[in-house]
Amino acid sequence: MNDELEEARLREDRVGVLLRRAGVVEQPPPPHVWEAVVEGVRAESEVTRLRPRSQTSAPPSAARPSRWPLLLAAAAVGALVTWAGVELADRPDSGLVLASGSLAPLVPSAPAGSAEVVEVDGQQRLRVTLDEAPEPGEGYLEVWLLRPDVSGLVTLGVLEGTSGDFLLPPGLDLGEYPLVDISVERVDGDPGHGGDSLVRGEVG
Amino acid sequence: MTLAPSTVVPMTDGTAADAAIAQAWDAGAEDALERAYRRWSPLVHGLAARAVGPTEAEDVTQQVFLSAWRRRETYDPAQGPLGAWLVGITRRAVADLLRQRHRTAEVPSTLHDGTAPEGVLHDADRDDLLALYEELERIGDPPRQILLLAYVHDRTQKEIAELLDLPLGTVKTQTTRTLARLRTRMGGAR
Repeated sequence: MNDELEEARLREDRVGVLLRRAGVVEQPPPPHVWEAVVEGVRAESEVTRLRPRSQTSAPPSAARPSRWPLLLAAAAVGALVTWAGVELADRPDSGLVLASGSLAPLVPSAPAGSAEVVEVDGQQRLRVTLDEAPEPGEGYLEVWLLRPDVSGLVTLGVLEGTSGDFLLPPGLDLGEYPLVDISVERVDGDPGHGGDSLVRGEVG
Repeated sequence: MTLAPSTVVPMTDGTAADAAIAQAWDAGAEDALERAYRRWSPLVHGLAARAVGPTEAEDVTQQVFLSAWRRRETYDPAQGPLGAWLVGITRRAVADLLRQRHRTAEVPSTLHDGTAPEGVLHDADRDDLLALYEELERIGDPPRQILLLAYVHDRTQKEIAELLDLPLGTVKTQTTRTLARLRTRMGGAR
């Protein structure tokens, strides 16, 4: 057996070529990555799960992925669904409650609250009520529905004060976008989520 | 023959330690996440860096460990070592990110020219490399060590036999067998 020939043959193998090209792969991540993991685990355990009171028109799919923590909201947001949210000021009819639950503060200064999916005149709306009006500073408050893994989000509109009704876009599947998120946004021309979530909870 | 101590981990200790972490993980122990992170984050992060570049590798690493912890109950030790499971999650996270990149690349305002940063693999090789490492974690030592010594650290079969205190015949057989097994894991994205 010719050892040199055998070595040469082995070196040509694509497996070997790839391993060789990649070199020593191990590369410790910087410390802030671990801090973010810890923060994510902590935040996730604080997210309050909402229970639907009755079946919504859009039942959650059977294979629903688990929830995704807030800290990823700012990063790697995939399909951003933009929809012109309309805050409905008039509330002639409080509507039929299809689902509801509580919203939990994600930062110490944020209030708790609740969210309901109501049906008014054949239209589904998300009704948000906070215990106190958050202080958005120089920004404003925006209401979102998120996928559990934050791979997509739908904006519902601007919240002022402690409560608001937001028309749900027709065809929106609450099983796909079950997380209610209220964030502080700036008027900076960027339609995406700024990553500063104040309050979050699950509905749908 | 000298070798930097970091390149060869005493195999029995390493394997036993890995199994202990997997056991803690399976039992839902409080420190299991930290132990698993300490043990496998360099591999997860390094693979992600090769696949998607240094910046997003940090996001991927964070995502992988959070996601793994969230569905820790789905880890089944009977299905393979924890390291292989984590690399599998890394693989999917990388694939998702690349798919997303391809989608966003169609937006005209995106100005990136698509050239890979230095040290980052081309599309065809990304998933293959992650698949290789997933399988290497599954196979474990000594075959994993033999392959890495041969291809990453450029040792001859004879040197490997001496280093690992194994018969040359065993090293050769295991190299051939492991290569064959790894080959079947490649070819997804060519």
